[in-house]
Amino acid sequence: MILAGCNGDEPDVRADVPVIEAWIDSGGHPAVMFTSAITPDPEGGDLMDKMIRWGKVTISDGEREVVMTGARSNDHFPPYRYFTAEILGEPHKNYRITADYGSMHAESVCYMHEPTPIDDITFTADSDNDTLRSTTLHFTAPDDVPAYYYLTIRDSESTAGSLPALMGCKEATVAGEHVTIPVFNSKQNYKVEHFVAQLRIGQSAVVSLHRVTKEVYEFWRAYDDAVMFSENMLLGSNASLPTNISGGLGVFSARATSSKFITVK
Amino acid sequence: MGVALRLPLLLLLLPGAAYGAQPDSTVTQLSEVVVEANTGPAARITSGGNVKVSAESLRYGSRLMGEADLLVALKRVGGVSSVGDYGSGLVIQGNDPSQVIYLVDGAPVFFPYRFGGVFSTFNTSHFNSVNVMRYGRLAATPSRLGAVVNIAPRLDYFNPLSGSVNVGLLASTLTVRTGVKKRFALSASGRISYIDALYGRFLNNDVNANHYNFGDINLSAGWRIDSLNYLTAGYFFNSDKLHSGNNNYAMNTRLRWRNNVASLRWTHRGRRPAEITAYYSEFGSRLNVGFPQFDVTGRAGIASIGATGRIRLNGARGFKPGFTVGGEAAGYSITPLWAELHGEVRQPSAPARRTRPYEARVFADAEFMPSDVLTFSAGLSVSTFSFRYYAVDPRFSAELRAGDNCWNIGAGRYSQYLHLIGFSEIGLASNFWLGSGSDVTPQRSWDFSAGWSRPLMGGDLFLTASLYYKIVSSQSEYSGQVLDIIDADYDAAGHIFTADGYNTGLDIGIQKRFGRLTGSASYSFGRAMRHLPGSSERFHSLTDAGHQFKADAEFGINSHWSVSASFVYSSGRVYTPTRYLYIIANRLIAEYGARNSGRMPDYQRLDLSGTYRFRTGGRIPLNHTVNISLINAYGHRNVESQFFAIDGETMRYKLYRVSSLYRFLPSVSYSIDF
Repeated sequence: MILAGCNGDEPDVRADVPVIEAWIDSGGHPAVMFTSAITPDPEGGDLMDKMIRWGKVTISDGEREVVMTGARSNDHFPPYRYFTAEILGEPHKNYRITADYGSMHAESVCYMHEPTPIDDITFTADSDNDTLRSTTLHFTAPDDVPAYYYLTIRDSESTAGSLPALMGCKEATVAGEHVTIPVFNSKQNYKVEHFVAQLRIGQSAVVSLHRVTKEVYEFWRAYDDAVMFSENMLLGSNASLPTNISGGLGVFSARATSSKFITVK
Repeated sequence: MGVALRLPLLLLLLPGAAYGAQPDSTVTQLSEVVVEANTGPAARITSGGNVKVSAESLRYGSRLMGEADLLVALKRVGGVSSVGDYGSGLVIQGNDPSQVIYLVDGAPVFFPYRFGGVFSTFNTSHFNSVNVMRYGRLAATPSRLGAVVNIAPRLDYFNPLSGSVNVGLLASTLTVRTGVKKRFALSASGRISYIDALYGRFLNNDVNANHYNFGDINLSAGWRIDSLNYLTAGYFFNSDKLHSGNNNYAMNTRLRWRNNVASLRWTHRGRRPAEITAYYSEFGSRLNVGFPQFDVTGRAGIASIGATGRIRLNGARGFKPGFTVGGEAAGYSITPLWAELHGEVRQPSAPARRTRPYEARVFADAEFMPSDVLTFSAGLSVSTFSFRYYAVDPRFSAELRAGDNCWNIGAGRYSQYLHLIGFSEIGLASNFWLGSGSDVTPQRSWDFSAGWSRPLMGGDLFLTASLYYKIVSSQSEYSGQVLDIIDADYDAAGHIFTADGYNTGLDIGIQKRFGRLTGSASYSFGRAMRHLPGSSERFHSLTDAGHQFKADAEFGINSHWSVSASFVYSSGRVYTPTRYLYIIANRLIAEYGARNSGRMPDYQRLDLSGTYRFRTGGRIPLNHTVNISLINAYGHRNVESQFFAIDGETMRYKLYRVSSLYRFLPSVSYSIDF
């Protein structure tokens, strides 16, 4: 997916660049994955040694600050995350996270909107395949448009946690408009087997509609673009993803979340 | 002794005549003679550093994938390259393919490139020659920053019926020419490919399933009104379809493009030679990205209707100048990329933002010949684009011949009002044209060049050396993402940034032109650097060619057999390297480093070819040619792109390299000339 250098001019690199993948859902507890960036080696390398187990990670909601605790977590990769049960996501609040380890420091602030309810999730037959369904999420755009959304999906048969659904980003621009988003599986590039985007009949999953800030939306939109097209021979791009992490890379998403459990019929 | 080719002498003298070489009424048709000579290198460097490719020589030389292609032959010339094996566009002196203008029958062709680098859109059997003017371009040359590629059709006024049939593994071609009463000539060619049938599996890998096919038509007609006046008409159409299916994403990418070009030209060859051309040229592309539940269709296009004319008022004599004056005018209809959504995604699409700019230009060149050995020219081009932008571009060139040595210098300012931008770094048809406007200003260039050439050994060897330096500004690049095109407020022009900089380089070459063994060798170095306005940080342009060594040779074993080899070793293309990798949502993500600061591994390729020719008599004498070729004979894996991904078995990250399309690719073709 990524064009990378192995000869010629060496890119300018820093020794340690903190990487944050963090989220807090409305009605949920925060989670922070804290790693350091890899300086690529053409010979390849290990991913696990960039996992930071002993960092100091804090979150505040404007009223109090909590130091988060690190623990093993098998639903994401690398399998380690920082968490706390002392902070609960509430709409209309600003959340600030900090992450420190050695000389590394990163922080981010993110606002949480009001969740937008999911009106329905529908399935239609795919004329080309009798085991797959075209799945569509429906919602009504709120009054305070523009509103920015992205979808995540958690497959009940998978050990992986909730992951961004392919092509799940949407900007709603007209208040009260009926908006649809196709629901696809999440694409991860370490899977060996071929990826099937559509949901299969019988598949159970939790589909979540996250309303986020424009900054966060732009990150996930660029992420989608990188996932979809960076390997495409005709359209491949080499733009870095934007970030709302000060001093590092990645994204902190304060998500106003509506979820629905589905079994594809 | 070279290969004995039985050719009607008339064909050599009057091959129908490229423009400016129409047959003279006093010519007498001779009977057939035997020419004992090898055809020599198809692409010849002239004393001024420019290039001429003879289609006739190509037809008897080596072939790539069974096709003798004019533009592929140009790539063998020092200092001419392309951005990778997937694209066909030529990079000359650091100018990108959109800055090189291709004129067919005098009409511009906006996108004369095919996927895969094997074919150009120009059907060799239809044309007579290609002339590439890259040094000392005078004021009369069109508004482009780079070289001018003139492609002249082959018309045969004197032969009632001639033509050729070529059957290859990739495509087949039919050309028919006829002359009527020595006053009218008509030439028609058609070509159709069937690449998928035999080479489909070479275009596919574990992830991508690719399909590609194309077709083209050429029609040319000439009317020799009298011995001084000629009227010619031309028509050209091509259609290309590329399909890339991605198994990992259930995604299909379809790219279609076409050119539609018609021209009408009057040529006067009297005491004051003159030429007027009227043309219509259109290029359109359609990019479709399909998903299971919806698809996105992006469209872009450009159409131009225009006329150009020039007249040579008098010849130069001493310090009394010879003047050539002229002008051109063109109106454009330009539709930058816009997209429509179909399927279950309900979202309004951004409307097409069509513009209708126009361009007008007048020019004058004065040539001085103060002595038999010295010639110099000075010219001025004054142009406007929709009366919003203006340019006054002076040009100067001089040539000194001292004995066998020929020295040239040139300087000039050039302006270009059209930009070609888009997602593809290798210049595929998904890129689109845009006129200068509020978002992007005209491209400018100050060019300086110097060259030297001389023949050796009675002309058997020909040495050339040249230098160039160009100061360029407003070089446009696209910064948008693919998904931007589905935004309701998408405006392609809003995703452009421009850069300034310079191109510099040198070309050194030697050609062996005669005998059983002919060939050429060249070394070129090109550097193309850019910087954003107001920034001192420089980066390489994608057209930065680096070092290139090229050699090709053809040996005529006997009157039937000839073999040839072509070798290139060059710097890999520049690209933007990854500075960091990191993981988001279980996926490896790249943070990119300085723009275009990395280079792919060096490129190398050896192509081999063997040709067997024979002739059959009878009522219709026929020349038969069977060609066998092997592309990338030692199977070097040239890297076209590379990326990091997580190895699913080891959970380590790993570098994956995508090789060129061409590895041990054999081909065979059979052609008949009648």
